[in-house]
Amino acid sequence: MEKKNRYILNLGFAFDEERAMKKLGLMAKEGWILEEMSLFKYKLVKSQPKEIVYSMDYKKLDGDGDEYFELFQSSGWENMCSYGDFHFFCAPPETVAIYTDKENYLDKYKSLKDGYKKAAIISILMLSLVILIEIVLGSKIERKFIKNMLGITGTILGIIALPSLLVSITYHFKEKRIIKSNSKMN
Amino acid sequence: MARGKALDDDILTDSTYCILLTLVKPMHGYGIMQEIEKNSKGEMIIGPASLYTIIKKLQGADLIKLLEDNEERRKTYTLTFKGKELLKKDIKRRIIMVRHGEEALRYLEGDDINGKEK
Repeated sequence: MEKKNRYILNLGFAFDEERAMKKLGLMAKEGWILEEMSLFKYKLVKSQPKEIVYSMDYKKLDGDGDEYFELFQSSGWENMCSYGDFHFFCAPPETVAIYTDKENYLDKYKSLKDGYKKAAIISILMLSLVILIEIVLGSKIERKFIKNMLGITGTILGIIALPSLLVSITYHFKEKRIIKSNSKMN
Repeated sequence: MARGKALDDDILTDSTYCILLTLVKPMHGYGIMQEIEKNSKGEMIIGPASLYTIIKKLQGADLIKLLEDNEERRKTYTLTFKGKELLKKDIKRRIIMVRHGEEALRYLEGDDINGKEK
């Protein structure tokens, strides 16, 4: 039986947005079209081979998505799927880009970065606090339960802190690259 | 701030300027896009993500507002008093620059003619 779906791994938008969009475009040429997006993968469905390009936008819509999607639709960008505040569009290759000015293109990455930066700062502060408690009171704590709790809390905070830090740094450099680039944007 | 430098300094980017120009008549989002392309003879084209973001910023900065009781299904925008004042100021600023540009252009083209005559 012929396969109906294929999947592409999502390595995280911060690290992998451009590669994934390109890859999706190549897959469309072979007739695999983006249908759904989840945390770890893009789900593609078999269809007619198409010459299209993909673009991803990040936008909090506060419930009034109609106008947003309609603007994209009328300028030739079809909404394939959305995942939270991430929206995926495709269009014929010659279509005008979704961002035509640098300032707002930058804002997309800035607002992404700010969210992760907040998470990174808060979790690193709390992690420092846990480590401090461990250093200062560690030997005095006798109750095993409290010791375990400290350990678990520390681990969870570390799991949040490290990726958010990495993502914010990646977006930081992405912003720098955009500022430096001599794109045609006005 | 997220509001955008361009709006804080009262100096408009070209995209923002063109959008405000178009909104001297009430218009919905896609209409703005088409009008800009037409009026600038294709020199200025605005993508949907840029347009949506700028509209939200202009609304937040109280330079444009939604038109009340309009019969169209789509959201229609119009300039606020503040928006009109800012736009007038910026048009005048740009006219001065364009006049200067025209002078320079005449000079440059005059140069060309002289060059050919030699």
